[in-house]
Amino acid sequence: MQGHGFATNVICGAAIVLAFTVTAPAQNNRSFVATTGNDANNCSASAYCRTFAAALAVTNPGGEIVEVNSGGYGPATITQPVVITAVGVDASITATSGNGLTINTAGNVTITGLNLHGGGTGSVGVEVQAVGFLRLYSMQIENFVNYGVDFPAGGNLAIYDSKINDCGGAGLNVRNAAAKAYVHNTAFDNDNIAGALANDGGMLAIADSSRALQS
Amino acid sequence: MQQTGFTTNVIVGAAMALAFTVPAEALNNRSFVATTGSDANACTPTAACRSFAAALAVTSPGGEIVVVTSGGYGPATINQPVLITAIGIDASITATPGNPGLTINTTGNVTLTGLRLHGEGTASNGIVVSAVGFLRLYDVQVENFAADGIQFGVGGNLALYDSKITDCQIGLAVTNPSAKAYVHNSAFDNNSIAGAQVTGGGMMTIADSSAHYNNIAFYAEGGTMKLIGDRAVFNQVGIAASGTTDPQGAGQLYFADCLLSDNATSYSVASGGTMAGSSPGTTLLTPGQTPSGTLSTAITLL
Repeated sequence: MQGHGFATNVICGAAIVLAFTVTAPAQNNRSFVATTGNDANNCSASAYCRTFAAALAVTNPGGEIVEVNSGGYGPATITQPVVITAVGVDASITATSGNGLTINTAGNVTITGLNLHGGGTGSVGVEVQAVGFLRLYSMQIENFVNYGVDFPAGGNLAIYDSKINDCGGAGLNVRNAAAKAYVHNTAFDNDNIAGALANDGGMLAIADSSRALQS
Repeated sequence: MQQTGFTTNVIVGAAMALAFTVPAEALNNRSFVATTGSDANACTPTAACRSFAAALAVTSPGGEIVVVTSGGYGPATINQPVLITAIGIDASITATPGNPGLTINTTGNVTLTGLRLHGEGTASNGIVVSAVGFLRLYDVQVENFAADGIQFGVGGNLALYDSKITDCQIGLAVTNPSAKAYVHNSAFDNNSIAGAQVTGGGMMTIADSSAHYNNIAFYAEGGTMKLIGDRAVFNQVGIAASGTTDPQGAGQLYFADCLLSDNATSYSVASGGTMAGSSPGTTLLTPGQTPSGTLSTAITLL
């Protein structure tokens, strides 16, 4: 028993050392995720990670995360400025409970090309607790219980070339007096309350977009 | 000892010979870069290179560089006509502090498709044009540079399509009396001086584009700017024309079918500047914004 306890302590110690070394040095300016990756890797171009959560943990603030191939990369919380870019692939997040993405940083976040799926039970596609400037380009967000994009924080939002549909609340809910949202070439379909909703003093400008089949 | 020294000299000599023969002969009409490549390769489809700089050195003038996989390919100087094309992948350049992402210095034509330039807040400019015949930028994203996104300070032509320029000082700066820029379906966001700015007698036409959260969305500081089907939303100033501060003359800005909404100042015309809405062409100015100065041609306001 004592020998076993000792071995456990050593392992815990090693895990703690690892956890601290990951966040301090050896961060990537650019991290890579792929369905062939593994979260034990360092997320480099030659050793992909498997999930957004793992890639975020080893990416410098203001760095970039690249999706190499089509697949699901898991829900994540973004607590730093970052650019996540998926071009020419289906980079998905399925969240059947909780939120697809939670954003909580004072910095700027740019996300391109992610497809978020709520499965009819996930809460919110993109929940913005805090952000400087959030840009969502070419996103598809579908089938969440509450909102496609919930923006209760002050800050700026730009949505381009996206589709938000089948959400139980509004597709987009801007609800802070210090929030400004610009929406361009985006479709809101079959969202239960409204396609796009501005309340609590939030400001919303929508150009060249469409809203169809709402209740 | 002597033998060792002799061997070293031979190796150095061979390396130098290689370095000189690479740009001289065996140039590719089409070079390839990939994250799995190596700059020691010939940049062929079966032996891709790792960086744009290496690929440019072995590509024929007027040739093409193909980006095979998503990743970063490094800052580069383009001093020859070339096409760089990235389709269906994220082909990035992360610039280093104080330096630009791309420098273009050729009398030929350059076409760049699908590149994403990252300044990390510390690099100087995204794209600096020192010379060019015709520069075409298609589906380009330029973000977070300490100075300008695109700095076009020479004579020549620029076409910018389907692109986004964000978090810079000036998104697109055209500053030469012999420069002409056409911008289509592009977005300028959160630039601390202006989204798009023409000065020094340059000409810029912007169609079907948007600028938001900038200090000034569209600014004719000197030279002429024409806006058609554009939107300026959430800026400090929507559209602006300066007075006689520019040696090449006052700014002239003409607009039609635009939306000016939720800017602190909708339009600003300095004394001596020209700003006019063309007719026909209905522009929407939503209430709640303060204008500054007088339009040269009155338009109907809400």
